[in-house]
Amino acid sequence: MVKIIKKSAIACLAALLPFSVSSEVLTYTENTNSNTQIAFGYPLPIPIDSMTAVNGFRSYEFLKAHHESLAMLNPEMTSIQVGTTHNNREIIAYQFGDANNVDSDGLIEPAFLINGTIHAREWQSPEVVTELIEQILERKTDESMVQYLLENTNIVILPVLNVDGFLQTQRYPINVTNSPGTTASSSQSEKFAQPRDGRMRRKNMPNVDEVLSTETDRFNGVDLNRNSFHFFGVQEGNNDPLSLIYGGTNPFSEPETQALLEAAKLGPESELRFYQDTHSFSRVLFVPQPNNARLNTITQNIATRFQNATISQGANYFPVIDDVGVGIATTADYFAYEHLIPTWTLEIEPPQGFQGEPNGGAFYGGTGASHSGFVSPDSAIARIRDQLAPAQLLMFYHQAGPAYVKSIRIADANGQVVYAADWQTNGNTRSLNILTDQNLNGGEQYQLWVQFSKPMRWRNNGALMQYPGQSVTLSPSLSFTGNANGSFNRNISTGASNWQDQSGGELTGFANYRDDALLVSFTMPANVNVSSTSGTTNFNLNISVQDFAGLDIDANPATVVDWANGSWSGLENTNGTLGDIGGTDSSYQIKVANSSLTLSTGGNSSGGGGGSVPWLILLVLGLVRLKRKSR
Amino acid sequence: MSTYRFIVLLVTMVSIDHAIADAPLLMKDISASQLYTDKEIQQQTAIADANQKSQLTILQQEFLTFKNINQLDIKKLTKQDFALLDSAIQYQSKAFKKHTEGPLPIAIFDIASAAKFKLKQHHVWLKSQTLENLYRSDWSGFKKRFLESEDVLSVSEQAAKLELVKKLTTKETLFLAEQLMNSRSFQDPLLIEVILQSKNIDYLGLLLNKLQTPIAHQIIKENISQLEKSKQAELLKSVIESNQYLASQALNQYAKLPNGYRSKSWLASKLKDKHLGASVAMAIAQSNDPLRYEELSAIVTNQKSKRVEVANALLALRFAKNEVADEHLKKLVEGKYIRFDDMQQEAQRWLK
Ligand SMILES: [Zn+2]
Repeated sequence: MVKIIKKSAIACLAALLPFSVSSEVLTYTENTNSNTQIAFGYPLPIPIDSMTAVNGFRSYEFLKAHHESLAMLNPEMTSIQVGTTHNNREIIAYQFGDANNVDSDGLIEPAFLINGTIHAREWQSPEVVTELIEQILERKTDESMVQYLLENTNIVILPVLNVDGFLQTQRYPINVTNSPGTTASSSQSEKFAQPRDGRMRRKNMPNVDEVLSTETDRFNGVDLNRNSFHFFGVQEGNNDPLSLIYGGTNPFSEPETQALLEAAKLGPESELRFYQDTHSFSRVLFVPQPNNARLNTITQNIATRFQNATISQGANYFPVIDDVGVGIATTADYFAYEHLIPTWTLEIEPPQGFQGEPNGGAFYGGTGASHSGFVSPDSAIARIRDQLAPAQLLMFYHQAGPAYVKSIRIADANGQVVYAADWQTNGNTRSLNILTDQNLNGGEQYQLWVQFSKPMRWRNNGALMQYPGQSVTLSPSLSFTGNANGSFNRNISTGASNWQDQSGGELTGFANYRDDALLVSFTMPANVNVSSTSGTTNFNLNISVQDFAGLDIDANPATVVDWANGSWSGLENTNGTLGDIGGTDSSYQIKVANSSLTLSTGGNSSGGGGGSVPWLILLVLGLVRLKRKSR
Repeated sequence: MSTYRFIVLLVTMVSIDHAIADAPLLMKDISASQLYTDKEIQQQTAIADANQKSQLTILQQEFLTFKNINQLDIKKLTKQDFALLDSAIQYQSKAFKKHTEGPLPIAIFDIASAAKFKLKQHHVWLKSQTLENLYRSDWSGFKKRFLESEDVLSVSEQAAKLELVKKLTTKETLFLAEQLMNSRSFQDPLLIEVILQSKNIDYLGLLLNKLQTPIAHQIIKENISQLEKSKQAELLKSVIESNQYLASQALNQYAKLPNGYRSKSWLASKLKDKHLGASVAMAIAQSNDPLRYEELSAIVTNQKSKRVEVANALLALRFAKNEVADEHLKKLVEGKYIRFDDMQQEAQRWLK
């Protein structure tokens, strides 16, 4: 009830105004100030009729034509009409992936949803989202990150949700109407304090004509980022139809937000693992925190990865973490609370609130006039687009999930395969299919090839390095452990050159993507204490690797990793405990024989019976030491 | 508002750390009294002028200082004004409102940025006075200073020069353009301005064949359309051929030329261009020539057509957005004439 009483003065004012009254049309300028003009200090962008990316902001018609042309030319991009706006314009989402909806294990692909331009005036949004589309397609045959994502995940991008509103802002690129409650005789700062239509329209356009000067309709519209189910109507203003943050009559009352739900179904919703709503400005992430500690830990972790990726590109996108259980019915709140997945509201630059950095348009050397932050100059947008693409792609790569070891091959010096094992996926479980299991001999040299389910390393111009802004453990840890001579542990040393960036498959190169396989040679230790009966002992092969988003591999591939209830399922750590951290996979038992030994008949523990055995062991140990010194 | 009042405010200013902060100010960093609602902002600023200085809230103090700075006449700054501006550029806002989308305090008035901009404008004005005096009194001195390398000069001198170009005669700009072309790239703002002012079509052509800065789009849209049609066609064709960055927009402009000025065969030949083909499709669509649709359909049905040609022919029909073109599309889709499955699927979606 309080809210009704508090209904703003604007409502009363608008109701009292005769229909013929016009609103005052105001102008943003580069340098001129007057009672109806305010200077931004740089030229205001005018929509450019170019399909290709420019140093500026593309008109909606050409941007959409560009999206359609990319969808027509690239089989990896499919357009789907997910809805129709109030003014009967189609809303299109684009799906990115291969022809099937399953990954290389035949499992339903995880999905990611990126929404753009929910608020009309935030022109940075469609450009940033379109850049992401362009980079995905430009790199679709990279045999690495992007190709992996296309073949194993389902990316859904909706570049412009609030089509009617966006077109209204582009129709009046330098004009707005006076703030609620002001008149022609109000001061400049009062008039420009809360511009609501024209270039500064935020909401959608139900019962709004496209003429700027019409007084009666200019405050209409629903804030599409307050029209979701969770926390619907919690803010003052959410129930006032004339408010900037009017939430609508009920959750998802608007055709545009319904279209977003349709886009989510392309995932489908049950497979979603990441949602981003793309806004401007402030250069932050607003990160919802449902009451789910594991989810919040993962979300904060990737938000930091996102931030670090942007810092490496010269812009610090800072994660602002919401209080747990608090929301305002944004779409990021909706997907976080409804589907328990990492989500956020990305507020593109200019920054706001960073001490020592100018706010809004002043960031570009402008005056910092009210609302200038929604207007990045033409000269800035190409840089903005480029700075954000690596961080967004990294989120997909991370949320695709932890890698697991798919295959092991060991070959002897003659190239003869002595051990071969593949994980075979059957629904939610896998079994290790051991194809070859011969003895490895102590003292001999072998080649070990390990295939992972993801490209595990990032390269720049062929050189292996950290993904932009990340610092993950780059060197894999491979070792043999066993009980020979007591507890036995021998590391296999690896280096950057062991990652395979040439095709070739088993024991030769990468399997499906660059750096999805390691090829390393090692010498089986000669001082192996074997069973007197079998003449062999079992060594465990232990594999521990982080992917380039910092995710450790699944320590137990037997249970397939998925996303459930806000966290990873089927993901084991080194000790076999389920959780959100992977670990060392020790699933592989390698039979090792010691050909240098003559087996005694009386057991292998003391070696006291056969006089020659201890002597031989001593000799072998000596050789090993010599070999080590010579390294 | 008295000068005294905002000086009082400025005395209380804290000095700020000029290093770039790695985090924004968060809600926990400010006190509740520093946070204002939209309604409070509206109410308090409306009556700020009438209040006694002792009664002013932080919000009102900042509002008045901000307003005062914005009202300063950059051509008549007094000693007091400079004192105000010099300290204002150090000022850190203390009055905040909450960000609409999340828990982030947002400064309501950016006093420091407003002050910096005033000072910048003032310095540009000073430089332009000097330059203009030189221009009126000593052409060779002016010429020398005008052509001096940008990197040894201040930002304000560059801005002042740009402003002054509008006052030069065509003959003068032509001379300066020739001089600058020897030493500067075509992305140089001063060279661009001088060429535009000179109205020399040859220089404009040279410029547009290379230009990649935002002003290029304004030139394509506005300056070019003032030329005679055949000249426009010639210039745009040259841009399309030689400046890939501008080509898409230039194609759109080219498509708007009357029929006799456009080369249909030249356009059609570019439909298979990997980078530009889709923009060519848009240009063909906008040329609005029904005969063309038959040819586009023929490209689609021709078994020898490459993927990119088929795609762009379909796009041209799509972008035309008229019944005749739609009829052609419908025939192609329903007759299953599109031999690439993914394209068939895309085109089908358009017909819904
Ligand atoms: Zn927004």
